[in-house]
Amino acid sequence: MSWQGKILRVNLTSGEITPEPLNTEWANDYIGERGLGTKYLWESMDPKADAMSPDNVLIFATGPLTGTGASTSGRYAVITKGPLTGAIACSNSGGKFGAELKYAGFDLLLIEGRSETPVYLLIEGDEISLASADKIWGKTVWETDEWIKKQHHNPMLKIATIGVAGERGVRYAAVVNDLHRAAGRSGVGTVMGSKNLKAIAVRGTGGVRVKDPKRFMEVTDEMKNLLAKETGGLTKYGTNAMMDTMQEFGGLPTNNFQQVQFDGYDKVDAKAMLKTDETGHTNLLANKACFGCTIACGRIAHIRKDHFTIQNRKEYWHASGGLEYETAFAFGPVVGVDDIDACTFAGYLMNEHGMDPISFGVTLAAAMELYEMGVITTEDTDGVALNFGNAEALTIMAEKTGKQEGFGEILGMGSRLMCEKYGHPELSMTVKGQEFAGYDSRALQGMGLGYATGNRGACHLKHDTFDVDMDDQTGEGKAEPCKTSQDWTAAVDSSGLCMFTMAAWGAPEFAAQLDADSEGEWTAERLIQSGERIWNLERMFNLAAGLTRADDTLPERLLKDPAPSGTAKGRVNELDRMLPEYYDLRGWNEAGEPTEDTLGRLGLS
Amino acid sequence: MRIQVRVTGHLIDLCSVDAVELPEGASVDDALVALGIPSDQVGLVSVDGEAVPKAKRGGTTLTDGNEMVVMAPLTGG
Repeated sequence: MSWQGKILRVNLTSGEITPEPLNTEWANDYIGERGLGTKYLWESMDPKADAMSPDNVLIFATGPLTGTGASTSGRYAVITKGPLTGAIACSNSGGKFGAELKYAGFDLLLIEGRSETPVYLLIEGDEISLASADKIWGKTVWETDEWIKKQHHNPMLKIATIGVAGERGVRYAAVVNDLHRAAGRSGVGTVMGSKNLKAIAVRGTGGVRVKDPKRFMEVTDEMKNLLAKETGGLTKYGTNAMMDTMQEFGGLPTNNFQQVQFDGYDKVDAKAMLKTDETGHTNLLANKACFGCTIACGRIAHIRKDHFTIQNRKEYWHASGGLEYETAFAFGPVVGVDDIDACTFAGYLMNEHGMDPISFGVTLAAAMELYEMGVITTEDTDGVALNFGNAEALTIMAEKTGKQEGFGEILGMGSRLMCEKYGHPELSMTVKGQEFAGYDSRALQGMGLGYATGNRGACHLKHDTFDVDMDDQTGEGKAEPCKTSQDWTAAVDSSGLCMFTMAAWGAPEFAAQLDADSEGEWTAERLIQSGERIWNLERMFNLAAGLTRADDTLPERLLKDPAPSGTAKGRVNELDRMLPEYYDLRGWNEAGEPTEDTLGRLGLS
Repeated sequence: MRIQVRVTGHLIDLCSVDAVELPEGASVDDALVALGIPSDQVGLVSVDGEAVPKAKRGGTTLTDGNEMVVMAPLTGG
């Protein structure tokens, strides 16, 4: 099987580094990655612990298929208690780091305590050590990556690191690996920074063994062909192909969710990225694929050299990670900006300083609304006019937040704390303290239910109700697909493969690959039940942390202010109708707690 | 009759026209066939800004001058 059978426990307080056997019983019940990491977290810490304290535990987990020959097998997840929400945080990333960790002989890293001084973890062959990060503390993601590789004379190291944002407590700091890929959401980089852990550098030269190599090759080849037939659009246009659909649909959050359509959408969408301008410049240069991926949805872009953002900054004249739908939404419509180069530059800054673009953009949008209301002025914002549509303000504030300078310190608090500070909590477009992604839940009702019940707060990646939401804009019948897809997504997130494969593969296709890979009989039914177990264990963590039914809600703007335009014009989100049905389907009581029967059925008693 | 057409997302690769001529009484499904867009590659169709669910495409009759938007499915991301 493709498990290495070993985890690495790192106690940053004592400096002890201890290899331990993988708990295969837990791997059997929780698949791997997100699920297995959640089980280890549950068993390793008190959910009531402060997210920023040494008592929080930070886990890097691979899945059973990570590093194998299956398509998209580069995934790993970071699991911890989140500083934005006080809830469980699970953030998933691609790139090459996850596979490299497997090849270095470890299925999972469990990091406890807090180092007195900044350190980085090095796993290079047989050498495993904590080294001083004094010389890279205060450095960007990109500088850190370069320094560590030079320091160890090894350009093959794969590095997951935080930027300055994570060091200085931006609540939505990311862990960035391989320069442009990130475990971006929920502040997992903030927790890493609070532990004085700057980076993890890994070089692995081993491989993985699968249970039945011949069958594995046959199955994964078949799956790659299936994937190729269904994901051509994603390859050509990337995720930002959704921008014009959301515009036409009327679900494109604009100006802090005050509107649902944005006039300038076609200046920042996928077609705009492909368009060659009058100077011969095209924003998109190339696609980029993560480890083992046959989709290649990643974008590599560059900015016009005469653009105000970089005309005097040659260090940014290189190609770098380009816009995806969520970054385009977060730097475009939600802040009213239609300047593709400014949006691209803001994306660079997120990777360079290590921040979640969604949380940053939606927090800035709330600040812009506060500014236009007159609640804050240029005296608060370092002299910058924070009007919607101000592209210069976007890039200035992205940099200030990344470096934690001036008003950037306020933006680094996240939308909820910032809006509470200024006496307008109703302007925070969050659930449980985490900012919304680029889908307005007045148009996408099931998305709203998924946001409200998301275990890590508002998130579009932990369920999949797109089809039913597009076809019917009421709340009727949305609880069941929301619940079912949450369970299924939890299983996919735990496999080591990318959720974008869900466009082509259902449970039988995932099960066939996993069964050829891992010991034990893996069926579609077992995968789905494992996903439900994972979802409920995450819920149990949150309940133990102090969250309640009251946290399963949406901002009043989405519940009371009708969508002003689009195909859902006049609608509000029907959460009150959907939530009781959802709890019932889950086997939870009216307080949103799993019943004894539910826990027993899932082996969680 | 002449129907104005817009498509979104990757559907631009299947349909590059901005209008289609159809016989009187044609439905949304008829229009999709005429445009060469497979029904299973469509997330939603709107006509003059009103959503037309999948089950109603066959029964929704178009009239001259309608503006039809054919939206690609959403996939998250």
